[in-house]
Amino acid sequence: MVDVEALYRKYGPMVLRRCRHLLGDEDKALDAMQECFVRVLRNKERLSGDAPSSLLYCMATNVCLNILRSERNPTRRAPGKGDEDLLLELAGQDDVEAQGIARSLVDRIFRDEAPSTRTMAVLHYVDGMTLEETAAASGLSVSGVRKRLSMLKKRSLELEGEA
Amino acid sequence: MDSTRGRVSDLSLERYVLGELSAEERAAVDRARAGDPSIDERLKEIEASDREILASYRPEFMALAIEAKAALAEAQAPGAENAGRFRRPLLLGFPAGIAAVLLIAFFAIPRLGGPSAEAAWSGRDSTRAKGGAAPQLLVYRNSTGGPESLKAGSVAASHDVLQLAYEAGTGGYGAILSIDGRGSVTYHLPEAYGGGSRRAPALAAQGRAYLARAFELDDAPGFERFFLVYSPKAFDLSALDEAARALAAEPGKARTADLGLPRALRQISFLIQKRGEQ
Repeated sequence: MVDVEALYRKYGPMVLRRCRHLLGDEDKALDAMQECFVRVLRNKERLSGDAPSSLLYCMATNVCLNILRSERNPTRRAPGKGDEDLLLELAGQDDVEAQGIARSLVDRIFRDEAPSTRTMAVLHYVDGMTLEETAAASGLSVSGVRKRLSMLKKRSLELEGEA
Repeated sequence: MDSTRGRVSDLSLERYVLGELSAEERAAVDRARAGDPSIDERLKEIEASDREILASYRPEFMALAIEAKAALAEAQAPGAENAGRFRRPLLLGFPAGIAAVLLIAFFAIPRLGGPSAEAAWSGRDSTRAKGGAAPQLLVYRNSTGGPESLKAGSVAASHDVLQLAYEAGTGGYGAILSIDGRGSVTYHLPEAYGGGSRRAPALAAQGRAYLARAFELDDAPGFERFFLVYSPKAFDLSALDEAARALAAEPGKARTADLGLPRALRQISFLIQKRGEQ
């Protein structure tokens, strides 16, 4: 049995803060936060007894990235960050022309990648988490995260060479 | 903690506040705090934000919303299994296991399109929608025993905290507002509407939707009457606002009379009487 009220009381604020940061829209953030706890209730995600906060934080990131990704249609995009904007922080580009190139690259880089890779990339490159923290949040081993991000980096270099 | 980058991650600080860091991790953060005063500021921001969020989105009501969504998802999933998975020991005064079954059945009823026990608790349907489940407006009050589902005509007091919810049946567009004994009109959905031309928001098409924020009754005398105004088609809120303010100007009528709305708009009302003035 899950005590929803107790779970929300303890972790809800953290999850909502994360969703607010990524989505920039209160109503969407609230929906995303509730979705995280619905997933816990439905046992789609099992909270680890050791670090439920890390799993919920990662889950919130994943849920929000999915929401942003579903709003890729420019006519539907609400004010606030799109997933491309978020991932463009990885590119650190200020120049408009370079942003356009980077946006195309980001799209191609992540097109065939698993959603979990996008989440790891945001946690490590945008949030500045160490590999160890990213691994703990993702529920993977450090070596697994390192390998996934290394392959991502290799793919981005290959694509950049084609650009 | 990321010593190479010289910045403690947001997640580390969240876990620090939650008390979920290992002894070693906690010591690392404490060392960082000693050398960087901004970390203490970030910790204070987290604690202040915790208070703000729990005050704005109260746990007892948010739990209801989460359970409702989960129950709806369960009911719609293929091979759905209804188990006493959710624990709400104080829900409706029933023991936990029975409460869980009732909660799931309760939220599944609108999907079946049949009458609901809750219909007797929600406001009077002034104009019933044709076909499908009738829309409903529901009001809960925060009490020491947990959320209390109120019936239309219930008595409440100033500073009672109420949570509003609705079931729109087949969706459409709508708004929720209240008129009090002082003649004030307050919009709850959309929350920030203050008059003028604006399109009514789309209503949730399935299940029960809880409004984002709870509502604290003020000291207005007599009553607080809530209205759900809805239509299958988009409409401008200005017509509703005009009707609401006209009714609010006559408190004697506002307790019982319908809003004078265009024919295309339907309404449901839910009267809360203020303590001491029944």
